[in-house]
Amino acid sequence: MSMVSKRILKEVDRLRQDPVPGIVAEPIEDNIRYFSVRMNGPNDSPYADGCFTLELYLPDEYPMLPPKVRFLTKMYHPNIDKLGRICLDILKDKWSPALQIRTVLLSIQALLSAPNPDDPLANDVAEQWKTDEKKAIETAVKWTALYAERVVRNDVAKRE
Amino acid sequence: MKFGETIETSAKELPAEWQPYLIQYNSLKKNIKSIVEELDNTFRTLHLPTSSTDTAGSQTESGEQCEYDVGHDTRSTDMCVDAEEARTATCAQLPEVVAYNIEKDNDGLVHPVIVVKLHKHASNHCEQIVELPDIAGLPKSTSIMMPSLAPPHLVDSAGNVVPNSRLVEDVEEMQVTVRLQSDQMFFVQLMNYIERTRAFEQSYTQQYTSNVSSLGSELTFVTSPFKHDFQVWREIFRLYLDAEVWSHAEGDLRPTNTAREGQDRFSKFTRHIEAIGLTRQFRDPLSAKLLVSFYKLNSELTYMKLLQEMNELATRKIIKKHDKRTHLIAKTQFPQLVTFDTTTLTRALIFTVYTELVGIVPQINDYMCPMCLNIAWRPLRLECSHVFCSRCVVKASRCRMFNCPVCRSKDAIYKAGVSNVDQALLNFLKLYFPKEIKERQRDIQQEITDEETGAIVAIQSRNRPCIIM
Repeated sequence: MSMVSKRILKEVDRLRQDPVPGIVAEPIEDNIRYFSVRMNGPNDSPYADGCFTLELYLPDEYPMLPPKVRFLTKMYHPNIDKLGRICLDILKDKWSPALQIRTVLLSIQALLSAPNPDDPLANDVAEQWKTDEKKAIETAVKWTALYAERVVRNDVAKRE
Repeated sequence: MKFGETIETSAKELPAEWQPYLIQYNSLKKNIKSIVEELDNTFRTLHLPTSSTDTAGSQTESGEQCEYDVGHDTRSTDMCVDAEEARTATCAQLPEVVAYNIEKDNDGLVHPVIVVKLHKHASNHCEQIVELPDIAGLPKSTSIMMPSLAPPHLVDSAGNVVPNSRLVEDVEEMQVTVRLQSDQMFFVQLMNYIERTRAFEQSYTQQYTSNVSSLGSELTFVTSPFKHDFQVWREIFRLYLDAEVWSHAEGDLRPTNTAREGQDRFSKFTRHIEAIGLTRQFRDPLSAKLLVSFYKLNSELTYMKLLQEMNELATRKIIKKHDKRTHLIAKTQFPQLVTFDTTTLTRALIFTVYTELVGIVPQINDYMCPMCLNIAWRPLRLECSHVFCSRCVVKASRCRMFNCPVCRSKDAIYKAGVSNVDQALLNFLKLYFPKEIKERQRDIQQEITDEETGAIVAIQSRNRPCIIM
């Protein structure tokens, strides 16, 4: 127990000192295992203008078991269902204890840039993605504008 | 603040013996003035419409490639009248093309050339070479090829007037090549500055590397794990690495921050060392001396970066000024002749500092178990050569994880056994991280005890029926 939470403490420390660009992950005050996460949509994706919230929970057996992550913002994505659950191999059978919170969140961010309709979680969305990708992407952009927080991109602001 | 002043203030920050290697911006600026004058004079003798290169500063910033403000000069007609009196009787005409080229010859000399193309004009052109006074140190290419725009004859050696219509008969257009002495001077001088600095950088690099090496060999004495100061040095270098004096992309030490930022971060680092009193923990007087050398090498690095940055900026600014004043646009051509690189040299120097100094002392981060993110306790090397704590490997296999957690090499954990313990690494870690290993050992002991009590409690509570009070 003591050792595992040491690892968590280390991860929290590093997330704070050397944050992943576009991702903020912090444990809530009274539970070091429960994180609230805010993630910017990746550039060049239908989610680019949005900032999405997620929750992440580290089970007692972490890092031997993967963290449980889900989107709290409503998402239009073939691998994310209505409840925000995420279909990602490293969160399930491909989990490895050498992975960390930051790598998991990076993978999720990457999933937003590369939807995989062939391994769907939300069947209707995946179907739409396969039959009319353009329209599906339009819907994703629309949902992002509708449900996600708007992102003010620093890099653009700096260039001005 | 004017840039000339900025560069002078910056110069004062550099060590005195480095200052001559800054590009002398102000003296180049004076050269520009003479270019403008010469340009004006030349174009007047050429009876080309003078370019409106007023030194007074009424430049029209056209920004286009080499635009003489030709044709809008009302003086040209007046000049024709004057010219007629002075035996030259041609109306200045609008040049078709005016091009400004900077060429580099085989000797590395730079020649700025103005080429003016004129439409074929009536009849009376001829060529004439005017030798300009030779100036020491300059190549002889200081002649002007110009059309004598007026009399259709030349004066031969005997003084007879030779009709000279033949020369231009089949020339469709006239081309005049003008070489401005002052312009050439400007570039020769600028190139001199640049090359001199480059030579200095080269000799400096050699010296720096040898300084680093000698400091490195001295450091190995005080940072031996059998010496007291070893732990202090490790802390210093850990803080140094954390301070990230030079930020860079992963795997590439090319600095992405400026000299000023580097300076700030470095002084923050030294202040921090001072504040936590690390230096007072030194027992060997040699350590204190070496730390001073380490500081010195680092600040020299920031000076080097500063020098390079200032020179690059000064060159850019002086070229800009040159272009603006003379309307001879060198901005696009000159950078192709010299390359400025403010990162490669510093990267090489940073690399030497990292490998030969900071790298001497092992840091715990390099010996982490990827599973518990702590020092690898009783390190076990799997067949894929990834290293973990024995304890973490046991735990993983209990959770039926048999592949390597890092590379997923199949059944690497499953196949691992006592023979996989890396004895050499184990001894190394014990020697270099005695405190950390002890702490980790205690933690693990505690963990095992907890687990056992947990198991006993579980057995006991299973056997005991639930009692409702």
